[in-house]
Amino acid sequence: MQITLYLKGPLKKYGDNNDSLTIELEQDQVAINEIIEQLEIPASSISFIQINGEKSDSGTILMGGEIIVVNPRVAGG
Amino acid sequence: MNNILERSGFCLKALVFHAEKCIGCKLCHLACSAQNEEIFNPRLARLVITSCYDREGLIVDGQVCDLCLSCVEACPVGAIVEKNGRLSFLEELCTDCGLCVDICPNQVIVKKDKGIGVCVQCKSCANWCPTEALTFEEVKR
Amino acid sequence: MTYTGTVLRIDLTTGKATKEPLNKDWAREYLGGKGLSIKYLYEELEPGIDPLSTDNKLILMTGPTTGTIVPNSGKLAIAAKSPATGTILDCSIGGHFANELKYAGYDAVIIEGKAKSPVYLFIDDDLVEMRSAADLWGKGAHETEHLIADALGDVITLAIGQAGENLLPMACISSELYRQAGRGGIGAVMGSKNLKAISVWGSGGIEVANIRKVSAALNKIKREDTMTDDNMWAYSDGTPMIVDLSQSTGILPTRNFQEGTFDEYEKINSAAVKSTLKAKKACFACPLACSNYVKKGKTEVEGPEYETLALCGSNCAIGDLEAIIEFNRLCDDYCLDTISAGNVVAFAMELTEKDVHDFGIRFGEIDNFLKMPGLMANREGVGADLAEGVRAMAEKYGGGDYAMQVKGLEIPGYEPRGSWSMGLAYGTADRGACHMRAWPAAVEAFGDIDPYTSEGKAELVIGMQDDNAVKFSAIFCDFWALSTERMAEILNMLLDYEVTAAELTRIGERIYNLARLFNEREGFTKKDDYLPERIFKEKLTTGATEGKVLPREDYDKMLAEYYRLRGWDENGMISDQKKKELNL
Repeated sequence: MQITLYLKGPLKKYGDNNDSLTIELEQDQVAINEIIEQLEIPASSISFIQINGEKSDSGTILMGGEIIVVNPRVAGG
Repeated sequence: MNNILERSGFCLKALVFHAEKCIGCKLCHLACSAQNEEIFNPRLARLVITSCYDREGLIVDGQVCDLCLSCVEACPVGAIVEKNGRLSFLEELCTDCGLCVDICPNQVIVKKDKGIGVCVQCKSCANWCPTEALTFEEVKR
Repeated sequence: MTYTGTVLRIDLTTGKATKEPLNKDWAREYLGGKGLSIKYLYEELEPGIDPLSTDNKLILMTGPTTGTIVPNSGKLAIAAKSPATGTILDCSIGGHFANELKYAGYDAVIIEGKAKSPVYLFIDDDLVEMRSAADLWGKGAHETEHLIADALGDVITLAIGQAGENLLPMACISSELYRQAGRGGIGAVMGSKNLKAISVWGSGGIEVANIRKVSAALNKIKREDTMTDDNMWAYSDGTPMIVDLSQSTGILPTRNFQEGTFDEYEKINSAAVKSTLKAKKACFACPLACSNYVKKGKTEVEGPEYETLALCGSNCAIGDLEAIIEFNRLCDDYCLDTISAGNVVAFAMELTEKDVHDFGIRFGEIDNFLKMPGLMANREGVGADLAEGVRAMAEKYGGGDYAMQVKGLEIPGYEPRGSWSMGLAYGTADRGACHMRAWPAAVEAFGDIDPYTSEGKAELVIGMQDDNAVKFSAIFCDFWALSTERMAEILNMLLDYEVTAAELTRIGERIYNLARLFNEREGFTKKDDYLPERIFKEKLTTGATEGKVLPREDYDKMLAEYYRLRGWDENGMISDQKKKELNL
C-alpha cells in the first residue's frame, strides 16, 4: 500500500526537503507514528498530524491511499 | 600589493555578501562591534549591511571588506598591514589622517575618536549570520 | 547593566523635553516593555480620563535585552489608555525603533499633552526637536515615512496615517511601512496629541560585561534553542502557516464567525502566499525572519500575516490573495488594524445580508471590500459607521450577539467554539479580545489537549499569560518559544543582579495583576470578561467543529476557576491578599 506524506515548514528537512513523499509500505497495519519514527522526526517537533484533512491521533493505523500532513509546532500566533 | 599576493600563490579568502539570502537582522553588525569594539553598536561594525524600504520597494545592500588593500597602499605611515591575507592595524603608528577611511571603496573602515577599525577577518559576522548571507570564500582578482 | 537609566519626557503642550532617571525599583519589579510601561501609566494616569484627551500619555518602552545581540530582542512596547476599550493598552511593534531609541540613550519616552498644531518629533541623541508636520498631516503613513527620510536621512520612524489623525478606535502606529503597533487604537492616541510621527537616530551602544563571552554564549543559544524545529516555521512559512492548521481543526473564522472553515482556504494559505514571496525579512536582532515580503500583481506588502488572511480573508469570504494583499497594504498605509478592520467589514457584510442595516457590502464582494479601508480611515459614507468598531455599530443598528468583540476589541483569528481555552484567553486578556496575552490554541486545538472541555483550561491560560507578560517586558519576541529558565539565563548575562525563572514568573503574575488592577480602577467587572452570544449559542456548521458551541456554563466554570487560581474574588476583583503578595 501507498501513502502520501507532506512535511510542513521546518519538518521538510526530514524528507530530504521534498514537498511531498510517496511512501510504499510493505506490511499492513502500520501506524502513522511508526513512519514518523522511521523518518527520525522528533515527536516534540510536531504539533499535530492530519490524515485526509482531519486532525488525527498519531497511533492511527493506515489503510493505504491516505494523504498525511505533519505540522510543526508553532508559537506566538 | 595584489600582485605580490598573487605571485606568492597565496589563496585569498575574504567575506562575500549574498543579498538574496539577507534578512536584514543586523546580527552581523552586532557581532562585529561586540568582538572588535566590546560594545553592541551597529555603527561601529566593520561592514555595512542595509535592508530597508524606499519608494521603489525593498533595498538590500551590503558592503564588506574584500581585501582590495587600498587602505594598505594609502596609509602613509604603514599603520595598516596585510599579512597572509589578513589585515591588522597598528594604532601606535596611526596619525589619524583619515586617508584609509576616505579611500576604502566599500566604506567599511570605521573612524574612531582615536584610530580606525578595519575588518580583521575575525568571522564573527559570518558565524552569527542565520541565513549564510555572509560567507568566507576564496576571492578572485 | 543594559538599561540606559534615562527616561525622556516630552510635553507636547509646552514643547519641552526633559530627561529623568528611570525608576530603578519599578524596573526591578516590572523589567521593561509591557510591564514597566503599565506601571508608569498606572501611577501617572488619573482614573476615568478620556483616552483621546490631553490627559492620556503615550509611552514608548524598551527592555533590558533591547539593543543587544540577544536573539529576537527587537521589539518595542507602546502603551496608553485604550481609546477602543478604555482598558490599559500595550502594543508590541517590531522593526528597528527600539534599538535606535536605546542607542540614542533612552530606555523610554513618555509623551504628554497635545501640540497646538500637527508636529513630529525627532530624537537625535541628546537633541530633541519638535518639528512642524503641516506638510505631513493628511498623508498616509508610507508617504509620511518617505518624506521624513527625505528630510532627515537615516532615521527610524513611528508614524500614523489618516486613521490615527481621524481618531479611529482601530488606528494603529506604523514603522518601516509594514510593522504595526496594531491594536486598541494606539494610533488615535498619537492623533489626539497632534503627533504625526516620532523619528529617532542614536549613535551610542550598549555595554555588557564580558561581551565576547556573552556573545559566544548567545550564539550557541541562537543555534540550539532559537533556530530549531520549534521556531523555524517562522522562517519557512511565517504566520500564514496557521491557515491550514486552523482550517483542518475548524477554527478559521469565516463569514463573521458563522463558520470555522473556508472552502477557498487554499487560495489564502501559506502555499499561496509563498508563491508571491520576494524576500524574507527580519526585525532587528532576529534570526527567524517571520516576515514575507510579497508581490502580487502591482501590489507589494510585507505580509499578509495570518490574522489578516483570516479576518480580512475567510472572515469576509474573500478567497482572493491579491485582494487581501491590496487590502493589507491600504490598511498599513491608512494605519488601520487589520484584525479590527476585517471584523468590522465582516460584521457590516452580515448585517447587510441579514437586512439589519444596508451597508452596501456583502460577503465575498471584492470591489466593495477594497473601498472600505479608505472610507473607514476618512470616516466617509458607510465608513463613518464602520470606523467606530463592531460594538458601536451593534449599539446603533443591532446584531450585538454577533458583534465579535470583548471589552470593545474585535476578536482575532481563532474560533473559540473549537478552542475553548482561546475563549477564556480572549475573555481575560487585559486589553480586550487578544491572542497575544495567551495563545493556548497552539497546544490545545493544534496540540494534544482536548479543545472541548473546561478542565484545566484556567491553569493553562494563566501560565501562558504570566509567561508572556514577562516575555513582552524583557523583551523577547513572541515567536521565540523560550522557557522562563532560558529568559533568566539570558537576563543574568545582562543585569547586575541575579534573577531566577521562578522570580520571572512572579514578575509576570505581578504585571498581569497590575493590568487587571488598572482595568478594575476604570470600572471593569466580571461582566466584561464575557464573549459574544454567538460563541455560547450558535452551533458551527462545517468541518471539524460542526455542531460545536462553547456552552455558557462551561465558560462560567472556566472563568470561576480562573479567578480562583488567580487569587481574585468571585467577581474577578483582585483580593487584598494578592495585592499585598505582589506588592501592588
